Amino acid sequence: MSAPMRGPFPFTALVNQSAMKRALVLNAVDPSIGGVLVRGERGTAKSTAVRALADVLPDHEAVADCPYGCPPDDPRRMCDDCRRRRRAGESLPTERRPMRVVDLPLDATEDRLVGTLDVERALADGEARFEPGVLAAANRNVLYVDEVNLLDDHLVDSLLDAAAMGENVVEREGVSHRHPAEFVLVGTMNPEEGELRPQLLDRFGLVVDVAGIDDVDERVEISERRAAFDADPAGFRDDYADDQRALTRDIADARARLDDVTLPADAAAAVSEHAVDARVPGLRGDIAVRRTAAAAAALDGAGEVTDRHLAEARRLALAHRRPAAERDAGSDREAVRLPDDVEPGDPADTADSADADSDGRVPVNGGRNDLIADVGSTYPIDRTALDPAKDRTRREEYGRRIPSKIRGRSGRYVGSRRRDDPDDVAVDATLRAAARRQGRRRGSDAGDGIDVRPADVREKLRERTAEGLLVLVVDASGSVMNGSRMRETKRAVLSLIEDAYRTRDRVAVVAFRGKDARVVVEPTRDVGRARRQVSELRVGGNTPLCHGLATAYELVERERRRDPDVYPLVVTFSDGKANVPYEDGADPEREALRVAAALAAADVETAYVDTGHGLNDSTFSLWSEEKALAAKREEYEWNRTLADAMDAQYVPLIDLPDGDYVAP
Amino acid sequence: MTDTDTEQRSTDPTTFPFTALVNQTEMKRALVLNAVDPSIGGVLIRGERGTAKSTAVRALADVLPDQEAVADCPYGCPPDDPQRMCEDCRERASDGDPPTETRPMRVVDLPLDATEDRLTGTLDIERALGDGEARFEPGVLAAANRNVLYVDEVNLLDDHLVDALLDAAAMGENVVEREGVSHRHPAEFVLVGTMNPEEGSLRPQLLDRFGLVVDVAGIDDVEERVEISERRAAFDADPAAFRAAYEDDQRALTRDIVDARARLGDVTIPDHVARAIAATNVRLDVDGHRGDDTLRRAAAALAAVRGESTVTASVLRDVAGIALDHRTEQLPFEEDAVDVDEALSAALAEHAPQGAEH
Repeated sequence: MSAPMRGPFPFTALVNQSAMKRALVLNAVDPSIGGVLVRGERGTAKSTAVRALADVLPDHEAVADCPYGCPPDDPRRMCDDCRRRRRAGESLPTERRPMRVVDLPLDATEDRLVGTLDVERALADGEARFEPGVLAAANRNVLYVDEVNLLDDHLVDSLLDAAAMGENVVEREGVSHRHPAEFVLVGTMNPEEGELRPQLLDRFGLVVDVAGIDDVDERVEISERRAAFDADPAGFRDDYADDQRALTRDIADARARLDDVTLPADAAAAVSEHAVDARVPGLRGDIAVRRTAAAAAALDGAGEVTDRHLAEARRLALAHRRPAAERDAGSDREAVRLPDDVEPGDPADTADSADADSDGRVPVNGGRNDLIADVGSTYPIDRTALDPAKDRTRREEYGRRIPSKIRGRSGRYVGSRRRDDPDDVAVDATLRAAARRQGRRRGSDAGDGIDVRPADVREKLRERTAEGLLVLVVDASGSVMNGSRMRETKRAVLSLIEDAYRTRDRVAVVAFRGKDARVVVEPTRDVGRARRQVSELRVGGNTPLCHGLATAYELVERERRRDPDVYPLVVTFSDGKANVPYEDGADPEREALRVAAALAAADVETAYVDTGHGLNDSTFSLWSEEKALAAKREEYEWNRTLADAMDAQYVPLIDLPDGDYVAP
Repeated sequence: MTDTDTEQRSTDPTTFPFTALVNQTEMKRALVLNAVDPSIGGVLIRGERGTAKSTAVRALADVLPDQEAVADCPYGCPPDDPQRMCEDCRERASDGDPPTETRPMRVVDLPLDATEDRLTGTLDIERALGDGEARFEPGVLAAANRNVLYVDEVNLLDDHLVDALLDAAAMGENVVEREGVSHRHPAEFVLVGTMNPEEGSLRPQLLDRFGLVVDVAGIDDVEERVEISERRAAFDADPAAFRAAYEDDQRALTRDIVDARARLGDVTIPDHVARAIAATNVRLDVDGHRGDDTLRRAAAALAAVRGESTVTASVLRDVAGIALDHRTEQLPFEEDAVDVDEALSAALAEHAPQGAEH
């Protein structure tokens, strides 16, 4: 049923990528290792390898007429039906089957994943019978999810439930059913498309990162094998038949040996010590390392786990389980905090800075008025630092794309609900609702058609990803040229734009300086343009903060009128030194608080990045230490007040790169 | 002349003839190469409004060669290639010969507002209501099998449709597990997309899926512009006559495609050229290995079109840009893009065959 249309590329013909192949083979030796996630850039044979795996997996004995392919000799792993038949003394018909790679398409509906009411059966005789889904087909096989990081949450949840229990429990639509669902979970993903939910990541026993191959000879070899395969798949597969058989035999032998592999006591202790040292939470890592090392030993024909096996197992099983902070710690952290070594400014193009210092300060950087200084690379943004605390968990898990239930015909069909006059009928659900009555109808004079009553009619419930709109409000006044604020602000803004590219949010940029604010980038997905326009942003002049906030407010209101589903996040970058009144003679600071309150009242999610806090600041350098401290504290208090008025997450700019902001 | 010819062509009288398109050489080349070898992986045409992008794609159908298909199969399976058949056809083929017919290759549209069930297929409602059978009703991907799947404004396509499209394109197969049906069928198509970059960029995953990418711009040459306008006017005034005037050219191009297909299997890639292809991709730091495969296929197809039996450096130069340019622009943030031509020249020099030639 799920045999590929043409035979897969032979596993043994894959050039290099030994870690990926090894992880897949080790899991084949011991499926209880818990599956493999292969991460890597496009076009690195990830999917090809997974699909190729099935071919080298040894056949297994299965109950021939069981939809779950139960093992004939292991009652604990049988479905209720097989167990009952066995107990009743029936000799179960068996057959040898190849292990299969069962696909879970991203757009699968939940009823197909977990199984549902057998509509045909129900319509024919009104019997509520279970129709097995993908999880049933995956039992004792490989369940493959390509682009697993894009899988819908409702499917992920069902998948995790089943994976955790080794069983699929269904309670829906008049059926109540459970069946074994032990599968090797294999996923592939391209990290550029977004990260995996930590809960799902932890579920994979082994994680392998693959990269393209740079060696010219190997690349030529890869292309030539691919071309030969495409030209004559059957002939190519014949060429590798011996290798394939040998690998299958190795796997089968290793399985047979696996139970006899011993783990010396000191090695067992080393596993746990290492996991503790690496600060891996939970025990899943330890278990995966032990099993992987044992499988590696079995493959080698060794009777005992050695250091070499342990080292390999750790590489495959532990890296993804280390806490994020541990993984990311390294040279990056140093590179991010580079505020002191400002390069000498470009003496040209200083016209704008002439009016920069309304409060009499001299920019240290001597008239550098182009916001795009050469500041090196952008950094990954931890968006949880910017979104309001109330959503933090949710955001962390799902990224910035917010699914929302919608009516109408677009969007992904995720479920159904009862409705009398639907314009988007969920036929499958409607039939299921009507199905159980049909048996009684047979033999009456109702004719051949199905009796569907208004109460049966279901409408499709669709889900669409609400469109994210990231509004960056950037202080381009003279005061940001103080110290390294400008450079760090720019890095942060560009990093956020880059992040929006990954999350496919639209971006808008509002800049304020001098006497006014303007939208320098209208909402767009063309982030290249956004970047260029930010690059051309000029800096200097006073700080019309309330103009900036007001402009952002108007922009958000306008976009909401256009699309009520839009999800705006307004991130303001400023040092808070509001000094231009909105209305003549008013107090700029009080006005700023008023506009901030309006943003909060409009229920817009906001973050306030304080570009002054904690950065090396020349303003204070000429003052006494106490005076500078007092001034800093005052500045901090004021910015905090402003952020609170906006109901915004307060983040000091310097903490953004690390994500571990701890607002004092 | 049309009277005497019995050749069956798809003759939508509203289609502008492909061979009447002025200039836009790269766009036409990319489309033709894909017609010669669909495994090149499709074409994306980027350009501003009014640069004949859609016209060219729709015009392509007219010059594509006919193909043999199982007559009553919704996927138009190839009668002689069991590996590319749907299950139904494979079963029937083992029992006897299914009925076949010759059909024109088609350009199948995927409208932006298509629902997911229309794209991948869904439950056959009539069948389900009539006799309670949960039968699969094929969707756009089924119709696209062995044809051209065209998405206009592909950058505006909804994510959930893109995902389904990518799945199918990657596997050459459509796997449906939804709405009460479980089904799979072959879905090997030439993916052609057009877009206006002003409307936003394409998701990298989707961009990479296109074998070739062509950027088209308006034409600045006055004489050419006049020519374009005049042909357009002539076509609008009398489409039938206009099409008749290009009939010979059209048929010649179709024949070229057919001949090139026949020759394709014999085109060889000399070792030094193969190495230069790999080295170019390494120099350009192209993600993964799809760039190598695409460049090889495109170069072989162009050699076949030109009647050459080996891929030469000059053939390579003519396709390197459309095969690799888009793979070097991973993110719009990396500005120091390496030039494809430069990388290719360097790679060719480095891997020059022993003993002269240049």
